[in-house]
Amino acid sequence: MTAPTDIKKVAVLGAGLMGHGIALELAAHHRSVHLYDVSEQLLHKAVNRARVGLKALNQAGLISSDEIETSISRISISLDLSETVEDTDLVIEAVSENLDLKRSLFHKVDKIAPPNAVLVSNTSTFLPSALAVATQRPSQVAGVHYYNPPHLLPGVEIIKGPETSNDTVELLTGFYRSIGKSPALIHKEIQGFIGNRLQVALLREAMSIVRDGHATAPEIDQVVRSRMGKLLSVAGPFELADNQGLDSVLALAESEFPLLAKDRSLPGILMDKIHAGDLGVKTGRGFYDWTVESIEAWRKNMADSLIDMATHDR
Amino acid sequence: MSQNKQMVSLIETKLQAALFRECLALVEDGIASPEDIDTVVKNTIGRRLAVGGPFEIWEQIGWDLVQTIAGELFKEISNSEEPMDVLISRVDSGQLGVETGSGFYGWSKEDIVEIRQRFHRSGAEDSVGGVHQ
Repeated sequence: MTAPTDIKKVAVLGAGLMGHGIALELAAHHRSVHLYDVSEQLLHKAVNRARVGLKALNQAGLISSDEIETSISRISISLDLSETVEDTDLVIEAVSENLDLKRSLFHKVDKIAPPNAVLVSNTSTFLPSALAVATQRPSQVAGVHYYNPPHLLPGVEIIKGPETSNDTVELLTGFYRSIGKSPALIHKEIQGFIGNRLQVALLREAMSIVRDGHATAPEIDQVVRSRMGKLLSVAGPFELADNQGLDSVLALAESEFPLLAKDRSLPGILMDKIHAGDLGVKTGRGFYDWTVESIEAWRKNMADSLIDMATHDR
Repeated sequence: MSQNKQMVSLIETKLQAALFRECLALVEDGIASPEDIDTVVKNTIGRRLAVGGPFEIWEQIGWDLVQTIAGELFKEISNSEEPMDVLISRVDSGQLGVETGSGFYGWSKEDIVEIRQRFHRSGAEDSVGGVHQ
């Protein structure tokens, strides 16, 4: 059986937003990375973006400044799928969310990659079983779901499909720990995994608070940012519950669960925005008005804050 | 309570309950352990929520894409009106968390010191008790 330390060469398929971040983090942890995409221009852009990401890791104190260019030298780019995966221990697929495209890649990779290689997908939409069927090695296929930006958010969800072996799960868990990640195991594949289900549960309730006129969207965001979010960045919901006392948490659950939102479709206040074309930053308006400057400031603040938090992970 | 404090309390109570209901459902259904759910929250979405609230974060992605992502999940997430057995059984057996030394976790003196340091670092330690204070 392959050991986590045996995973030295990793192929990353897709050089977009997620792919370049996944690649730079692997390179910073001394893995040799083969980055594949269908556009040479995109591949070169990805290497430049990887350099920017490595500078952020340096700023967070996670790598030395010498390591920026050393890490870049560990990333090779290719337009040839065979060349990319023929000699790898792990293949991470991070192409766009199109099931046919993903299945076709898994099918091809399965034929070329070494028999021991594990194949994983960073999809947030499809279950591992939907990709495993395209291969002859379903026990070596799993989901590994990263969050954006992958190199600054240490959590990854490892999703076990019905045919994924325990060996594969152990290998992935050990490997991700060895590159400084905090892996979490999802025992049974489920839509939305953990993080997206929780985000949607929060969004549904937040929408219902706005609809009922109890608070505005900016007021809710302010409360989350300044209190609840700060706590959730250092402690999980179960740790918090243990600190609040489970008797009072149970009393809260008994009184509040019956009153929570139960919508099974998106609420009118959101559908109205969508129909009006108020989609958020891309159209300049949603629940907020956005300018080029405010979008830039928001993104910079998010990136700087995530770098600060990553500093505590050392 | 001032009007503002009432509003903050309502928002926190409802969002905390909605979040924890889904967490409990995931444990009850054997999808993930409390530790693994906490790992995901602390190391991904919790960090983003410390910087941006749910509306502004989704606005970066765009509500059209949210429609695709969240539309299906609205049908799937828990609508339970009752607390789950994984919580009730612990309270029934007197495992109340930090104050009794065990709950979803076992708590040594060192563990308690360590998590209090984390709360302090967050800058929001006064809201640990949430709505119960």
